Amino acid sequence: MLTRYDEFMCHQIPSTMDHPHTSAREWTERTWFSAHDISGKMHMVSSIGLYPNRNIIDTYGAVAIDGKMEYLVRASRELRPARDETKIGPFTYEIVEPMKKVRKSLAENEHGLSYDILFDASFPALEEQPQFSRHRGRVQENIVRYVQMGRPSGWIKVDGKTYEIDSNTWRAERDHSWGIRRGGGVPEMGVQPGEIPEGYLFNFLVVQFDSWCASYHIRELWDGTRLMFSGGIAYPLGNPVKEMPLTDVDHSFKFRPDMRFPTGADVVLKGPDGLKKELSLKPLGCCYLRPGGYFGYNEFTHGLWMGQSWMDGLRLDISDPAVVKDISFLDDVMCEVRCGDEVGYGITEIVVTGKYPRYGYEGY
Amino acid sequence: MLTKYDEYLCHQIPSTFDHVETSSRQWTERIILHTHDTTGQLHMSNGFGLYQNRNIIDAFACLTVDGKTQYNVRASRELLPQIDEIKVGPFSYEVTEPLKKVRYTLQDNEYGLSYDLIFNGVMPAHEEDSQFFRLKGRVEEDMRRFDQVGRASGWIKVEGKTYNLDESNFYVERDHSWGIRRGGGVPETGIEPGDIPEGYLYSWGVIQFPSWGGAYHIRESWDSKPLLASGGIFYPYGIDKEDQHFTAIEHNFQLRRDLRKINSGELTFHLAGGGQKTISMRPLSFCCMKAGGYFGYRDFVHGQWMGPYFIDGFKLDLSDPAVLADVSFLDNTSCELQCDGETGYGVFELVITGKYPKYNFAGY
Repeated sequence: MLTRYDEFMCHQIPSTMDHPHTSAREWTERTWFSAHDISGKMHMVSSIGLYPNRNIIDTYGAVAIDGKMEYLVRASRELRPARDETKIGPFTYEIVEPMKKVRKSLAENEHGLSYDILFDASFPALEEQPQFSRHRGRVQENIVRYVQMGRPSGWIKVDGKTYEIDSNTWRAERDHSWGIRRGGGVPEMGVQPGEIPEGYLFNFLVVQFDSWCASYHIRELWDGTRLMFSGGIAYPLGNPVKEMPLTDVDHSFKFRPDMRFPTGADVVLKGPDGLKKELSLKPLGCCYLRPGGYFGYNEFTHGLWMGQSWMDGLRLDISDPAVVKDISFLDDVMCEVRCGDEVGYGITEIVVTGKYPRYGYEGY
Repeated sequence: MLTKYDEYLCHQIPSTFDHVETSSRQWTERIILHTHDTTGQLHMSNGFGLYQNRNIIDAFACLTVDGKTQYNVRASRELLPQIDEIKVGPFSYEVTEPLKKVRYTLQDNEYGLSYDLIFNGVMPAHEEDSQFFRLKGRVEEDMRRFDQVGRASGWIKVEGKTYNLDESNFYVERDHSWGIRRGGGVPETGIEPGDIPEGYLYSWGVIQFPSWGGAYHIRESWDSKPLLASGGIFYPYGIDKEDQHFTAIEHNFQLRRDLRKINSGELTFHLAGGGQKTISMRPLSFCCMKAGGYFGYRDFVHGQWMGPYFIDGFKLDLSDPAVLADVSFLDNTSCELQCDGETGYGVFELVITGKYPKYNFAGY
């Protein structure tokens, strides 16, 4: 079926753009978008997931306010025939200028959360190293991702109250990934179950200062063995200095005694030619992503067939420790980041499961 | 490498849009537009070819004035790093509105032909059936193509004389194709040579009447056996009628005595929903696209490495039989058409090689 995308001279297989090359159920294309003020009081996160081999496109929008309440709207629809429209119920996503400006909006709806946010990139996109892994001979993951940082503008409206987004005091981060992805989604039937890892660490950081930005993505086994590493550093758009890959990252997180939730971190970014940036992360706020559908919450999981058109809304009291315990897993932790005299802002995600002796964890 | 296309949610493989799935040298993405009036004064064919696995993008334009003089400009450049810009020297191509409006431009240059034109689609694009062939076990061709009819506005300037084009009397038929393509290009080395067919017929046409449009693509062996038959009719925007596929396409061309070129002819399309449509054609003008690089002419062939940048141009006197015999092979012929009392316009290509008893050809 022809799509608007077929107009462009960028085909990758001898088929129209409604088809990926594989029939694997796990083919996934996702965007992630985060906008927050620098105080940590307002933190909005929204994603879109496109599953051409499940005929699904889904999304969520989440806004955490003041560490007290998190408001969510989640929606899913049959992908075809509107394959080339990134619209799901009241949600729309618009590419205004590729690799520079995108717009996310959630129109007024019965769940009391709406917004209209324009992302304007301050830095070039950083392309991650692809993530490729096999498990028992089968491709488990084959993902390409880029991240980009910039400034948001627009508004967020919650229960009738409108919050203006001032691009001077707000920051935004986003990513876009595609390929074969198993983690976090709907379990498969009829296959030998996977193994529960003894211990595992995932850590992701996107951070922007006025004159540079960086991101990294790490996976480690419980003994610190690197399963995957990718990182990069970039300079503002128009700066002739090209982005550079990072060669290594040392992380040292501190966690709450009751939960594996970070209270601070020292992170050292290492790059070519002795490049070294010592960062100190101070969490200021958090938007919990699990209710948005990562790994499933309240009957919704990313990439799960929810019927032709589905939507719901949630409001969660994140000042209640029992609620937080239930929803905390993959959390977007907004941080103030210091590097020498520079102050930057960004998001980190850290998930430590099972044993991880370095951080004092002996098991699940 | 990230491209502006990577912004869109339409990836087909786990890689960025600068890569295609296969490393095959034969991966080809091409567009072509045929712009002509209704009198035979002007007929222009111009196109672009993108060869990711050769690191080449090339472009050509051939304009025939009064059926006598053909002006040709051809250019080629190294594809990377500007892989997401359809610009080759003075040639450029821009998608204004996917599947509806595109702009094609040839800036002033030393070869005396320039233009700035906008294609405005008047009917939805037609997706051809895929073309898939193997030869000696290897995929010979694996192509997708869409065709669309519309009108042109803008200007063409030739040797200082400017022609203004308006949508009332300038028609455009265009296509866009991608995949594995061997025919018409640069021969491969080190492989067993292919067979020279005993006799072969290829014909492609795209037509537009006020109330409907059509496209067909046929290939036949010398004994008139169909190797490929794809086609259908479609209706102007706003007309709520389903496209109809052809179940058979009958051709009855009258050819010139001196050359295997269309003099007049009739085509009968058998519709999947029953019934048929017979059109008769009267040629208005033509472009000899060989001069634009199909199958090679004067040292330039589509998809051939011509160095980091190449451009040339020349004019041909088609009224000279020797010139015409040399350059005529894959000719695009614009025609006035009659069907059921309606007058329409369209373009046709017809190539008959070797023996073809139906048209009285006994051999090469």
